[in-house]
Amino acid sequence: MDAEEIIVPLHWVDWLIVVIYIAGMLWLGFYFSRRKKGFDDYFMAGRNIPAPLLVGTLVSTFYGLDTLFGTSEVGYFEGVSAFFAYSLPYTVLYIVMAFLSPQFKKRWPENTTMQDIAFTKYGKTAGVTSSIAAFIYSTNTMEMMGIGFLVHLVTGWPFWVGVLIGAAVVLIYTYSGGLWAVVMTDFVQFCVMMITVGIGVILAWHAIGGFDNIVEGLRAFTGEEDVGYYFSPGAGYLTTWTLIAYSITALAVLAEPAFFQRIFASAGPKEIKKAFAAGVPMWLSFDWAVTFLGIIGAAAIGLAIIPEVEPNQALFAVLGEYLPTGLLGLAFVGVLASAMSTADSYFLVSGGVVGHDLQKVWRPQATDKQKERWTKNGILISAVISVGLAFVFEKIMGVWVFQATIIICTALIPVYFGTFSRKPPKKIAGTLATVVGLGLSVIWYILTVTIGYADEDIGTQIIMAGDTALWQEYGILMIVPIVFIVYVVANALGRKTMEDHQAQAAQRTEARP
Amino acid sequence: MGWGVFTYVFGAICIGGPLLVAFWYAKAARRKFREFAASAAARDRTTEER
Repeated sequence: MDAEEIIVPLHWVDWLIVVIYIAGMLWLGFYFSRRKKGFDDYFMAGRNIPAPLLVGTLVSTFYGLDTLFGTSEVGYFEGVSAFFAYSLPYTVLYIVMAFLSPQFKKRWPENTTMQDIAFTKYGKTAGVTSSIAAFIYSTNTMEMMGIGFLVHLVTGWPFWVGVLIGAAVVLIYTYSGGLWAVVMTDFVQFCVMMITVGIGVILAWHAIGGFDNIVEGLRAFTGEEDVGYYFSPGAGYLTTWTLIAYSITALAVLAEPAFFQRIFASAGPKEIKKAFAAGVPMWLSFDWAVTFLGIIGAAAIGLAIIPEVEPNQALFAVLGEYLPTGLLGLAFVGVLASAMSTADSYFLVSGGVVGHDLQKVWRPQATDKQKERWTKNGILISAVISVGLAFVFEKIMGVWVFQATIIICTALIPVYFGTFSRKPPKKIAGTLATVVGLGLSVIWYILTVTIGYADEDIGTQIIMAGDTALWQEYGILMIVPIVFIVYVVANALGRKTMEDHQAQAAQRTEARP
Repeated sequence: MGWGVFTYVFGAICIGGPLLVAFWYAKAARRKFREFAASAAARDRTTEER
């Protein structure tokens, strides 16, 4: 069977819900644009975000369309391994963050971004390098493409129209309202995306007739009698090594710039700890629901309930089949919400890189107004790049792996050693580690794209080294140890810490006539 | 059989989780508002006494 291009038509009641949702998001942006006083209020929400709001923004920011469509697509082809092999490693690291995040808040109460740690501990070069990594990481082309694709799915409009509408709405409320607007819209989006997916999976499971009918449908879908691998955590083929390769990108949770912004903007260490802890069951349940919507999608095609669609359209096709009028509009809003909540956070993080981190270099004495203005400029720059890339590439294979590689290899080791090592680290250690991490990540990506080939089955770029297939994901496994060695050796051989450098600079200033 | 139970449980958490978090936020906001009102009243009393 060939995949059909489907249009899921919405009733006028559904459209009304969509319009109310978009108007609500814009109103929140407008409301908070009138309340903010200064940069700290705009970018850090006055450092006073309570735990429940943090839960909403943490969960919805990290779960965008890549999770929604990516996880459901793996569920569609490979069953529950989408949950056990791909999602659980992330859950483990969310739990780790529940313990680490209060430590960061306690040790860096004045910080604004994760990159501030690199600036403070290792100086300008390390700070700028990690800022570049954070900016690249926060470019959200996938979300822009996803919104274009979604709008096309329900209207049939050209892809670019959806991209522009989505970018404009997100941009307006993020640009005008800052972090308060992002947090409040994220909270609404968190509720909508979780609840619609929850209702969808329960209704779909019930309507299709439960487990036995799903197995029947999967048999017809695959043409195989034994579909036990759909319900095997390792999908019947995943080895320990492939599991490590698939789950290594989860390390990005530990160096996620948007998480760090929330940690520093939280009302206190206890608040952020509670938020991560409460977020764990939400992330877990969402992953499970999305995985099973993918499985049910494959079964529904096998049972000829829905037409053969593209794998990443299966989730929405299932929702379209089983949700009644009104709820379908809510489901569309839920899917849209997962994209918008991710896009707004990353636009703001990118803005902070320009307005806060990089401005420290070219204008150390920037006023609050200048910081806010350049943060807004940064948001615009990030939006233009994200939208531009969405038009340039039809399909960005491995873009998430590239972004995860960049942030893990550049920031992870300097940030954690800079925060948790007992002795003050040497400046050269962080400087070399960030430069080597960023440089090798970019070189590895160029190599995988130029001399590697795209493996559609595995869904990654591969370079053949003799008989060994090197996946794009292996870059993290190779570069992180190199960065670690560079850091440790430079720290052992280096002479001066940042404190030494600052003391020397102060002496020179005093010695001047 | 077990998969269905887990699907219903996780589906229920997807629906109930955000509602609980919203309730948690409403409670926290109410407490903050009461604290704010109490401190404002105390300020007014001090001003009157003076």
